[in-house]
This record gives sequence, structure tokens and C-alpha cells, in this order.
Amino acid sequence: MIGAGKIKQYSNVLDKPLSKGKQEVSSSAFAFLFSELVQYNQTQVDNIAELERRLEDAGYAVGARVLELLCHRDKGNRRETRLLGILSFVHSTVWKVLFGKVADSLEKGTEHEDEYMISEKELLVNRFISIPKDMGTFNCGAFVAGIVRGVLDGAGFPAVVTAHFVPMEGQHRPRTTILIKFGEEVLRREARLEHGNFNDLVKAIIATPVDVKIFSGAIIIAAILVASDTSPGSPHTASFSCCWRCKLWRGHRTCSNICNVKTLLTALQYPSPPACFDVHLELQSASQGPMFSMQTSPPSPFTPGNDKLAGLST
Amino acid sequence: MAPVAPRSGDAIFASVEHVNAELFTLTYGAIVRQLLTDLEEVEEVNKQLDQMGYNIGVRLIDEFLAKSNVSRCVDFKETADVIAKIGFKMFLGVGASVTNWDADGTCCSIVLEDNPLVDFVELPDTCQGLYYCNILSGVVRGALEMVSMKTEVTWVRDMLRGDDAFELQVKLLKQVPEEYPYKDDE
Repeated sequence: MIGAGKIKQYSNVLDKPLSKGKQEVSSSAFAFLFSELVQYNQTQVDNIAELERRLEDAGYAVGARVLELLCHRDKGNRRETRLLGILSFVHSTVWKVLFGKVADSLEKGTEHEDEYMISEKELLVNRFISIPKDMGTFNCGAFVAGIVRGVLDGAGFPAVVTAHFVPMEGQHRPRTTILIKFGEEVLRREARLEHGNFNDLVKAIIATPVDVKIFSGAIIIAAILVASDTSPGSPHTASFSCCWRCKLWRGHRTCSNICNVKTLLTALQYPSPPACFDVHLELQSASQGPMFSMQTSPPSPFTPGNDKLAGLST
Repeated sequence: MAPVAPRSGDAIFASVEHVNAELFTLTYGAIVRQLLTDLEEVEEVNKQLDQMGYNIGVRLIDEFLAKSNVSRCVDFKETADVIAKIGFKMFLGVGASVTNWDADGTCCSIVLEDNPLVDFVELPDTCQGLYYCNILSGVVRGALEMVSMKTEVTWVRDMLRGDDAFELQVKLLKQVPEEYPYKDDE
């Protein structure tokens, strides 16, 4: 056949080698295409919110695929599991591949812990766009917000992502800010991972049967203290309270920088042996707040003479 | 002023701003996917893609003429060559060749050397009737209509449908004489 193309034919798309991603098209080609996307969706909706939602949906489809593609090609099938890691992945890697540059800025929201913002002075999709007066706050950046949401969601960081114009002093055109509000579960997991090693350690200790019957609380603490002590200046604070159910005794001790083993232990050696008790252990760091909290209910009843604590406390 | 020589497709493509082809590919994919969800019928999607392409073509021709310095083509043959060599190159960065001319020079095929639209794409069984790249045929039709040529553009070969190339058939239906829509004294 004359003039057969240069493209090799593959029976299956997966057989095709993955492109290196260096290919480019003219920015007008993209602008034309994007304009059609917006115009088509305009015919499908009757309000701005709906239009933005549809653009976001389209973007989501792109984002989900970009994540797959980049993780596979650039990161050996690894993806970020931490909040800051995935944010910087979006801000740097994704942005650079899609828009040819790293995003102008990545900031943490000042008012809310769960909000982050990626800002771009001139977002590609807003470059050739001017919004008619009657369309109010409509922002084509919704498409990019969708891409970001697609990437985050695919990586296991569900978030609500929206695009906003932010007027800039001395600038003609407003910049576009992509606001990311992470789901509650993401932040919870993050807090847990933040102290991942620490928690693993605690779990390991709980699993160790050292006089679990009564003094597990104390021993856990002791073990933690020792372990934490290996990193000097650790900002962690341990506090625990014990509740002897039958005697209504409450003890509470706080120990800064987890170095004073003795103090914590003596609190447990309080007067007469309880029939049963709960130990509530809470560890917190000065900057992060509570990071580990545990309730133990060792088996009862207390058997006198099983007190190994004396040895530990000295 | 002496007429400026037309610029080569490569030269124009090198001088314009670029966008990553994957963003383009995936965005197009998202559009097709949205159309399939909205319109359900593959035939309707083909039509809508063609319409979108037409809209693009109508606008794209201005940029094409402004940047390429191409002046009036003497015949349809030259037009087809310009589309293949300069048009495709300038916007998509891919070359194309013109073949399969019919005897009276009004129908030919444009064969793409590469097609950035179809990376990562495979047609599922439910979309076998889909002309995935139908937007391109619309673009060519729209752009030519703006330079007074009514054409019919159809896919003859489509690799997504198992053919060995992407081949667009461009058929010149009629050349519309130029009309000036307004008079000077009005």
C-alpha cells in the first residue's frame, strides 16, 4: 500500500511501548480542543456550578490516568503515601509534565489544617480565556482542579478540589489558586503515619508478654521511655492515668521529653494492689498534639507477689 | 511588499509554544469519554466530534494563514499538500503525506505519520463503530470551508479499527466563489 504510515501496529495497546512523554503539540491545538470541551459542556448545563462540575469530571479522568502513567514511567510503580509527598508530587512532577513547569507556589491554608493551595500566575487553561460578566465566578481552572482531584484520589488522598481566581496586586490578571481540602480520613491517617515508627514500637511492646497481668501499662511506658530516649531532645510528652476501678483511684503523671522513667513508674506503685485496673496511656508531642492513646485492661485479678516493677524502677 | 515565502511546517512548529502531547491526548480522551456517556449512541458521538472539529477548523484557519505565510493555492492538489505538510505539522507536530489521487484531482488521501490523539487508546467492543479521531476530519473540513472549499472528509483507514494506518479521505465537493458579505458604502 502506498504511503502507509510510520506508526507500527500493535494488536493490543499494552504491547505498545510506553512513550517517554517528550512529544509535544502546539499550544493552540490544546487551546482549541479545550475551548471545544468548555463550549460543549456549556450546552449540557444550565448553571455555572454544573458546568464547573462537568469540567472537573473531565479533568478527573485525566488526573487518574496521569497518576498511573507517571508512577509507572517515572517512579517504578511507586507512589507517594504521605501528604506532603503527594502534594509535592502534584506541584512538581505532575505540573512539570502537564504544563512544562513547576507550579508557582504550594502553600498550606492559614485558617484550616486540612487545606492546601497550589497557585499559578497564568494557568494554561485560563490563558486564552476571559470570563463574560454574566458567568460570574466561573473558572476554567475547574478542569485542572479535576486533574488534581483525580491524581489525589487515585493515590488514596480523597479531597475536595476547587479553582479560584485571586486578584494580585499590580497584576492585570488574577492568578488561579487550586484549593485542596483533604478528607478527614486522610488527615487521620497522616497523623498516624507521622509517628509511624513510634506506634510500631508501641505495638511491638504490647505484643511482648512482660508481666502483662498488671503492670503492662507501666512496662509499656518504661519501654517507650527507653526507646524514645535514644533520640535526645525528643519533643514527646508522655502522660498516663490509671484508674483502679474498684478503688476509684486516679493517677496522672506527665513527663516531658520522656526521660524520667522513675517518676512514671512510681505512680503505678500506688498503695494497695487493685483487683483490676485500666491504664490509659497517652503520648503527645508538643507540636502535633496527641499522637498515641491506648487503653489497657490487663486481666484481673491481681496476684500479689507478681511485682516485677521494683526492679524496673530503679 | 514582496510576498513572503511560505514557511515549512517544521519551522513553524519549532517557533510556536508547545504543550505536552499527553495532556492533549488525555484531554481528548476525556472529551470522547464524556460524549459517550452523554450521547450514548456511537453515531451521535461521531457526529459531535466532527462538529467540534468543524468549529475548531473554522477558527484555526486564521492562525494557520497568519503563521504559515501560505498564499492562495493554485489547485486542490497544492491545498492537500499544504494541509499535510504544514497544517498537521504546525498544530500536532506530526507529518502526513498525500496519496491516492483520483483522476480529476478532486479526491485524495492524507495519511498521518503519527497520531497523538490515540496514545493509550483501545476501542472497547461497545464502541466499535466509533471514529475516535473524527475531530480531525472536522477540523480539515471546517478549515477548508473558510477558504471557499466545500469538502467531504472521511476516515478510510483507522488503526484503532485494525487498519494499518490513519488515512483521511478528502473529497472536494465544490469551490465556492468568494463573496464579499458587505458593501463598502453601507
